[in-house]
Amino acid sequence: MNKEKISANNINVHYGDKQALFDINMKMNEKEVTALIGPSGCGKSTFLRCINRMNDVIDICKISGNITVDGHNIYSKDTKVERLRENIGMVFQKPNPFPKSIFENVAYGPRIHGTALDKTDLEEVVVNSLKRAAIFDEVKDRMHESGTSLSGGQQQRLCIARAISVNPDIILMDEPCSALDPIATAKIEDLMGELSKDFTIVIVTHSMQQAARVSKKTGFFHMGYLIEVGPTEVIFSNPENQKTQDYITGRFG
Amino acid sequence: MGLLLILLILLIGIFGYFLGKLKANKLRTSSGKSLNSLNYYYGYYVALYAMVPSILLLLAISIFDKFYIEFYILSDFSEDLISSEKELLFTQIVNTAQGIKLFDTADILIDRAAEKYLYIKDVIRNLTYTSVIAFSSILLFFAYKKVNSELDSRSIVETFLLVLFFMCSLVAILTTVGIIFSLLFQTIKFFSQVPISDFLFGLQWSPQKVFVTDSGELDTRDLQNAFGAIPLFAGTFLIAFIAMCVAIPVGLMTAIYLAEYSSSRVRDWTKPIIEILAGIPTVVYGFFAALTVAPIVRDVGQSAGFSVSSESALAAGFVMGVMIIPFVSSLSDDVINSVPQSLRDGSYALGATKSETIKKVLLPAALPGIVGSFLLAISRAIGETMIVVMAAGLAAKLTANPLDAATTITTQIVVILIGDQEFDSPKTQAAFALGLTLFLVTLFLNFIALQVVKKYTEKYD
Amino acid sequence: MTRVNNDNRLAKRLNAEKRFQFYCISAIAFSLIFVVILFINIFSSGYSAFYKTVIEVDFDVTQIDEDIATLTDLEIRKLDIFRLSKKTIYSLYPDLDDRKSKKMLIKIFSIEYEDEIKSHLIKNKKNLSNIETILLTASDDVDQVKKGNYPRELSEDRRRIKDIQLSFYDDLEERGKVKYIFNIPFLTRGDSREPELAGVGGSLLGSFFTIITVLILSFPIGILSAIYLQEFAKSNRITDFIEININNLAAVPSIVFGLLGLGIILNVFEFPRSTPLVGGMVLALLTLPRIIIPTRAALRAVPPSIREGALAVGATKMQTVMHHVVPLAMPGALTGTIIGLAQALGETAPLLLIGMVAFVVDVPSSPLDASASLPVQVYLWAESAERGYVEKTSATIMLLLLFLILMNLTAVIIRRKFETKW
Repeated sequence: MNKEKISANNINVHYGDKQALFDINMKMNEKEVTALIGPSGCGKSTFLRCINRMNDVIDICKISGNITVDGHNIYSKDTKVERLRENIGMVFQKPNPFPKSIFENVAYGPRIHGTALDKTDLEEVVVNSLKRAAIFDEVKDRMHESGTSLSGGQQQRLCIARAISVNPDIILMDEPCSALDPIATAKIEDLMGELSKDFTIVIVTHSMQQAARVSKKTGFFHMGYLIEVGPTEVIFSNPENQKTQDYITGRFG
Repeated sequence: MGLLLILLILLIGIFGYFLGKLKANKLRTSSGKSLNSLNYYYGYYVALYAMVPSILLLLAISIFDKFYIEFYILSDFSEDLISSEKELLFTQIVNTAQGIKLFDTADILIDRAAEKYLYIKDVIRNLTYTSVIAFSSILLFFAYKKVNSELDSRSIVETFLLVLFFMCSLVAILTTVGIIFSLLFQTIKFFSQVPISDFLFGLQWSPQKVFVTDSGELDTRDLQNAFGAIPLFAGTFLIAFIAMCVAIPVGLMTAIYLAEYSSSRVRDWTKPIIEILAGIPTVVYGFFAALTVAPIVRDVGQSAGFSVSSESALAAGFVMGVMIIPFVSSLSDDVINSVPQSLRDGSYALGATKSETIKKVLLPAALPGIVGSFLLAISRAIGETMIVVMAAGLAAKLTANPLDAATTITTQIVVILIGDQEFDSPKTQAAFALGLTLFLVTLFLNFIALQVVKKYTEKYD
Repeated sequence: MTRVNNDNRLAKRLNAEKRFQFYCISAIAFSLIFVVILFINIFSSGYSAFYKTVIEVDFDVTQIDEDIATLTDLEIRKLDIFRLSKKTIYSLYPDLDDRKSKKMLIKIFSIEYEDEIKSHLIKNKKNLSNIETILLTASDDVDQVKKGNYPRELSEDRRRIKDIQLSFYDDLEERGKVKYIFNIPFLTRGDSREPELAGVGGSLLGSFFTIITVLILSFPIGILSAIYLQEFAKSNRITDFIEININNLAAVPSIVFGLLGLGIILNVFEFPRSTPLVGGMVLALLTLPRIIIPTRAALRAVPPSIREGALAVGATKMQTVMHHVVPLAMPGALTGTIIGLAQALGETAPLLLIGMVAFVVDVPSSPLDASASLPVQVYLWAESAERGYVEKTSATIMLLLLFLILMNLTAVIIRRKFETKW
């Protein structure tokens, strides 16, 4: 069993007056894929964004409770959020490459954090990230074309390359395949398997089949509550909670 | 005269409206069958039928009676007068008729012509009245007769409205045509006396050297080196440049703050105050620049050891820059706001600070729109008049020193046209030539700005 | 891993972030401070124009042969009391002998003292006492001395007001004869070569007539054009061309419109020069795009469901537009119009070119009388060398800004109260 990497404790989230998450407690282990599933609007994306404090960007969002990564509370006053996000990468639902060249997209992170020592080092980092994201062969001849000129699936892999360019420990993925076709989806699911050898991955998905395919552990969210969490096989074959059962069998959601 | 007549036509129209409406009503109640349109449409039909052609007739008469009168009066005089002599003669006759005698020449011919003038004016006046009113009444009669249950007066009235609306929208085209025509006409006259190369490349601008002698002759030697516009172009460019040095950083950073940093409450406060800068009339800026800013610039500059004019380009350019800030900031604000949130998310998720995200992701993404806003602001700076008239110099010196006085295209247009005007002199025509230059340059800048912005909005849709 | 020395770098980046925010806030502060300084400057130099210095004299009514109470106003105006007026002023210093000093004494009054006495007599002709206390306007120099704007410390040869006049002034001040009253004539009279007598009445009315003309010309044409372009025009080359034209005209410098006015309205059509009528015509053309563009936006904002509802009941397109869509778009159209008019009120350059810049003393009584406008008056007085005009220029700006604030506030109120958010 892998060590615990991320631990969420008593997380409550409010958007203005509306409460979106109620008392979430959940642990995610290192170097494995944890899936968050549930119907639309159940709060799983909100929870994911708590992990790298992306909800800070939204003015009206108020978070209470804490989340520890490697034992450190990321919501403590002396946490530098830029450092946190250097350590946690994120891939979004709709691919969002910058309107820059493919090279510059991946080089952006290392540049601002200063993780590359010089020009050759930077090139190496970019090429490695593209390789690990399984897209290098497709773009190696057009590194200076715009990132937006790629297909949807390629763009998403570019975003994955960008996320891993600063060598994070954790990668968060928010429905990364929902805007892609089945072939591109399959490629990214394969990639996830490879990446989980080196990275801790937390993925939000509304596809139960995808969760069943890629994850080791699954958490089921409903209306802002974490209904059940456990090993993926258990959740999908023999859940404890009736609601989980209903969702799995397609009664709702 | 015209006003009274229009009023009378209006009265006939109103009368016709009620007639038409009543007839429609009568038809409806007496025959019991339904009419094509509602009663009031018949009323409008009769009214418009009576009014519109009569007003057109009145307009035609007022435009063309001048020509007829001039022809009629001058036919008594010699045939081989050139047109400017004819104009002079005619003006004399009219002045005499109005009792203004400028020269003591008691010319019997002119006196007689003056009497004839008064007589013919009276005749035409009476003729106009009777003909227009008669015409209008006849139309009224015909229209009234035409009112019956089948007449589709609603469609006719609505078509008339549509045509009216269309003509209104043509006013915009007429305005542009008018501008181009008036500028071009005078400019062509100008370039027939002063070669274009002198104008565009000449280094000396001193139109006051040029004057028209009594016989209408022009001393062509003086035309040399009088209309070189380079100092004006240089001055315009210098002051616009200084203005942009103020407006671009301040405007852009204001936009960034409003778009990315400020809470909506702060935004609600600060945006209107910035808009105030745009609403202050430029003459107020000019006064402030001349009264307060220019002396400060001069005092500071002189205490630092520079020689500063009391009408420095720096003072005028600085104040102009402040005036332009809202142009840059509100356009850039819109442009930055329209960059999709997903780009910001992508950058923050990588651990970038806000300023890094702005500088490295948002601004490059918004660049075409921002550049568009700069171009529009420059265009505004070039076309600005009052600030420079009041705070910058009137003497056309070719200089790149912001502490010197400089003059601009717009200043010179004002200076030339505000004095006494001899309308056919190259001086006045030069002002129009400058105006045409200004018009073309700003048109060009606006066109480029539009293209740049259009290309940008194609990216994110 | 390179994480350790990243701490330094992160600290630098966070400092850069703080500096960047500071620069942005300074930029905003710069604009705000400029506005504040401008307003303070204008107000502090302008408020004194609303007051004027007057000197009290005692006028002996019995010296006039006729019985004032029986005379008409015109007859009083025609009386010759020139000598009497001078004597009245001399009576302030009965022991003053030499001609030069007496001349200096007269000069501390404004040049119209005889007329002011007559105005006083006319106003009070029914109940005149034997000795009437009349307030006469002081000269421009004395006025500025009272207002503290005059550099008294300069040596006599470097200023216009002479030492003896200053001593008169100081003495009269001490005797309580110098008063500081509200300057109503500033608002009612026209321009004048004497700064103490100059007023904005002429330019106020000039602006008024001009704006009325702009409204009458541009509002109907603007609204109807917008309705046509937005609701009826088919998407063809002519319509595109019209739209391009309107967008261009919105960006043409205002001085070019002045050239249009000069070249065509004055020289081809021979309308009367320097009148608010022509000024209004030129500014109307300038204001048209500023009305058309927001009106089109307001029409666009009316949802299609309204149009469909009306058409479904059997209304024609014209009826749908005129009865249903246009009324809903009216608040937006009015807001745009008022803001356009406010901008027209502040325009100066085009009016200079069509001649609304003549030195006009009379207050115009119709749009066909030559006049100036408020911003043109500001320009004229700003160009003048006399110190007394500075406060008047600022005061005129205050009035101009007041009207602009009122108009913009009206537009905002209309927008807030009447605009429906779909």
